Amino acid sequence: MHSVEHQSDTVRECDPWEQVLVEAAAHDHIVQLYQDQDFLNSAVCRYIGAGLQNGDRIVLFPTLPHWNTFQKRLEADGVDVHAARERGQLTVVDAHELLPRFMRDAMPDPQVFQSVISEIFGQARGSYQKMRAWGELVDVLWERGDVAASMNLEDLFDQLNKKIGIAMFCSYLMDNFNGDVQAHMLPRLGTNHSHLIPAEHYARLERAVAAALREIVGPDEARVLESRLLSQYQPPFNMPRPQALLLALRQFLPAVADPVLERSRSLYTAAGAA
Amino acid sequence: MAAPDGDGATPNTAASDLTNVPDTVDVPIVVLRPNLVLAWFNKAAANVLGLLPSDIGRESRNISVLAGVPRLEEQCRQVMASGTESGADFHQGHQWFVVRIFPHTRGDSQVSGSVLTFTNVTAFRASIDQVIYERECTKAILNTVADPLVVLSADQRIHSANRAFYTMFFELAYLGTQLKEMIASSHGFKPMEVDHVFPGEGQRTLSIDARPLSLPGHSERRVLVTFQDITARKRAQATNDLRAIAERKEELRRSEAFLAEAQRLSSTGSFSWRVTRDEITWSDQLYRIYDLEIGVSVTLELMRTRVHPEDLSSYEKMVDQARNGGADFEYEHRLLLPDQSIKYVHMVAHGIRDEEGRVEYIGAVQDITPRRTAFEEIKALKDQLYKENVALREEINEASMFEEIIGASGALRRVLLEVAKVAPTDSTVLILGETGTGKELVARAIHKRSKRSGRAFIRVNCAAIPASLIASELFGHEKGAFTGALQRRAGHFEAADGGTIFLDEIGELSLETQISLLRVLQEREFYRVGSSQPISVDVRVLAATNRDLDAAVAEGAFRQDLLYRLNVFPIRVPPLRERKNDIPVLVQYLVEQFARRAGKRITEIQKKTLSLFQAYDWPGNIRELQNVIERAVVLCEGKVLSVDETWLQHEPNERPTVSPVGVLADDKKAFAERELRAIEAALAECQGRVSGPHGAAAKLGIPRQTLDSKILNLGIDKRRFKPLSRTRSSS
Repeated sequence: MHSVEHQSDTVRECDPWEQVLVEAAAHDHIVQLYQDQDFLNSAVCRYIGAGLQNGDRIVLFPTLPHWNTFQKRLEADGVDVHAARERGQLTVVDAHELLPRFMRDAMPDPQVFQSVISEIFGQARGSYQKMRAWGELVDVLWERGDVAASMNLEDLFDQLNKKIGIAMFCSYLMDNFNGDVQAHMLPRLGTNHSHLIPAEHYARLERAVAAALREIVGPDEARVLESRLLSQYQPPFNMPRPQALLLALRQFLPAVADPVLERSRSLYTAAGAA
Repeated sequence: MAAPDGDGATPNTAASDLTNVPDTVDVPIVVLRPNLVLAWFNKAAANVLGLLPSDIGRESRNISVLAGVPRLEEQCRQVMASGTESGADFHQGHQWFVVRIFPHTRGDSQVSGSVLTFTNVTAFRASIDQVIYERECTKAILNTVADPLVVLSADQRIHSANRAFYTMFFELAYLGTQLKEMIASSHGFKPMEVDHVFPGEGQRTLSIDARPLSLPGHSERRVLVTFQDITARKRAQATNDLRAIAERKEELRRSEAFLAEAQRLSSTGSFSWRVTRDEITWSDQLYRIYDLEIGVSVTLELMRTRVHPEDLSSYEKMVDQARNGGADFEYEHRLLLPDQSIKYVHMVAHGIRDEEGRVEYIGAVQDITPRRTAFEEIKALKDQLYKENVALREEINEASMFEEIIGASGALRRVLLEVAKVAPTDSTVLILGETGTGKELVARAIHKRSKRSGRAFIRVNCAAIPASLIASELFGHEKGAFTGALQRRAGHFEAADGGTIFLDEIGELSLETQISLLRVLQEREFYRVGSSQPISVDVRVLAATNRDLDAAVAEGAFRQDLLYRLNVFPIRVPPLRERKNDIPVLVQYLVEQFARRAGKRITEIQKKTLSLFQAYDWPGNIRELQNVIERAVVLCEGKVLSVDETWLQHEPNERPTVSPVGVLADDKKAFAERELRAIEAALAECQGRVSGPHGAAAKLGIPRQTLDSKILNLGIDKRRFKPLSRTRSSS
């Protein structure tokens, strides 16, 4: 086994996704898939903390329960949330309160959305040069089952981001090892995001996928597949290598993709439990 | 193959039998010492990688084939250090290998080097590349299809799909369930249309077709599902359908309007009659024809109430025949409407039998009243024309014989003077004279000189018409007025409207007819026999008789009031014996006429013959003279006309017998009476005025002084003819 695995499980090191969040720049649109609340908290608070530390203006659209969790964690990490809000660097808007303001007939109204969100961003920007936003407006719709509405809202956010140039980050409660998610959702999310954070532990994911592939197709074939698929596959957005391999498998060898994905889930989960 | 040397790596005796085993595999195996010097390789390595025995002991970096393995030294050291395997891709020429690097341990578990295996993956790699290529091709091809396509596995999971599918069906694709339902409802791959509500886009109509994909060598069942968004087409079709329906409705409405207008203009209504159920449907126009409120329920009984009573029996007969026979029918009858007006209608119908033999008539009813009226009028005109034609022919015949009144005797000149005076007036003239004296000729002369000369001159010989028919002849009759009156017929008075009627032999009229004639003279109107509708006419009446009407009045055979009305202006035509000077001229004229007719050339008249004519009394007057001349012309064989004396054997002084009461008994008295009546008539017409252009003297054609003298001599009181109103106003 890789010695790195032990390091990552025992020693807190900066995961690649953290780097993505810390260094989020204008026009970046990052999406996180999570099933573990701690992962959500870690990612969002890292994103907020780095932004505050960088002197960026922060706008959040969380649900209230999530915000309460974030706030505790931020304060535990030494962030003076109150002060940040006081000085206008941090703005928090309740997602449940905001959604109805631009939703019309179960779909976001583009013009109203533009007006409402631009107003919030405009008020919030103030004298700050850079701004980053995080929200779970889309996830609220997603969890309701309003898939089309959630994707439509993502499109609107992405268009707005391209226009006003801020860093955006959103999180989905979504199982990355689900076949349908791999087959349909990720390609769709690739159309309106720039970065994907599919899992909390990238190294563990890589080992799980590689081992699963070796098991399913054989070690030599796995090596050939990995090299050949990744050389041909063009990921729709930035993502870790094992995630790209999974998507490449689904695109080119769908018959292999499902067992590899299933085995990867097992290995990934087992490694986490170990 | 070369054995590893040095540091005790030589195989022991027990295992010496296995030393050749590595050479039996076709996977190249290479062993490197810890210092990365080539220690050993098998036969496959020699064959595939081209290693030579002389390479043993050389560092891997100096062996070209091993130097080509990426990061070989680094990985070998790492493997030896970690004890875990590693790998690398390597190719030699077109051959691709996966190089796996394992630690080589001795019996004491000490790592004594690295073992490299070279798995040839050239074919697998090519197959993968081919798979990728094929899928990329397929994907590219699928993406060129504008309509969504999806390949489903047996469990209806999406195997592959094109971009259009994901664009349109992202939601469905993810949710799966809806798509499954749609596919499941495709009824065994039969194409179908599905309406689906897309969030934000509303309802769209999709045409879905699914067909199984047979994959050679694979038992897995897959289904290709194609989708076509036919919303626009359906909407266009619906729009077209609606437009077409609207257009058809409009066409139908216009057609109905045209039909209704056509029915109105042609006064034709249409109907249907389901005989077995007595269901009758009418068009609006038919309600109008029958004078019924549009929309009321029509029954045969209701129709019956409109049928003219006289046509009821034939109407019911027609209905019975239609009901029992089912044959086409055509029928004409009258309607008697509530306002008592009569309409003539023409009905025609065609019977249609349904599968069960039930009859339904489709027909039309036309209001032919105007046509019928016009027909009657035309018929009346035709009758009138016929009569006028007959009269004209008679006139021609007569005129051929009496084109002019021949003669220059004083008696004749007096007559002509009276004709000239009375002709321009509309006064009734009573022409008196013996038979054959030319009374009709005088009447025609009056008509010809009157303002009515352009209209008809109707001659009626009252003596020639049976007494029972004279009224009908004079005044016409309605259809059915009497037996044999099959059609309505106009009488002579109607025929003479605007012209002149000449009632010859007026003395032969029955008293009953005299009353009617009196009414015509008084009121200028009459009734057709069998009618209560008065008919107004503008007819000038000329009457003639050879009878002594005064005597007839005295005998009660003639109405005195009628005589007064007729005797407004009497003209007495003298007998030939009173104008013997005219005989030579008359004879010459008649001879020429008859000779021309007979095709003879007669240039002379025997003097003796002429003397005989002048000596003869001519009781039959000019008609007798005419007969004698005609007879003589027929018998004449030369150019000289002569007659036999025996032809003129009557007593010279024999008085005419046709006039039982001699009208010539007192000529002077009669003349004085006629003169008195003429002057009174003129004074009456001129309202008592004697002089001036509108005075009685001008009217009578005599000087004012002469008229004044006559008025004085005859004892006429002019004031009687002055208008009463003027007298009253002046008083």
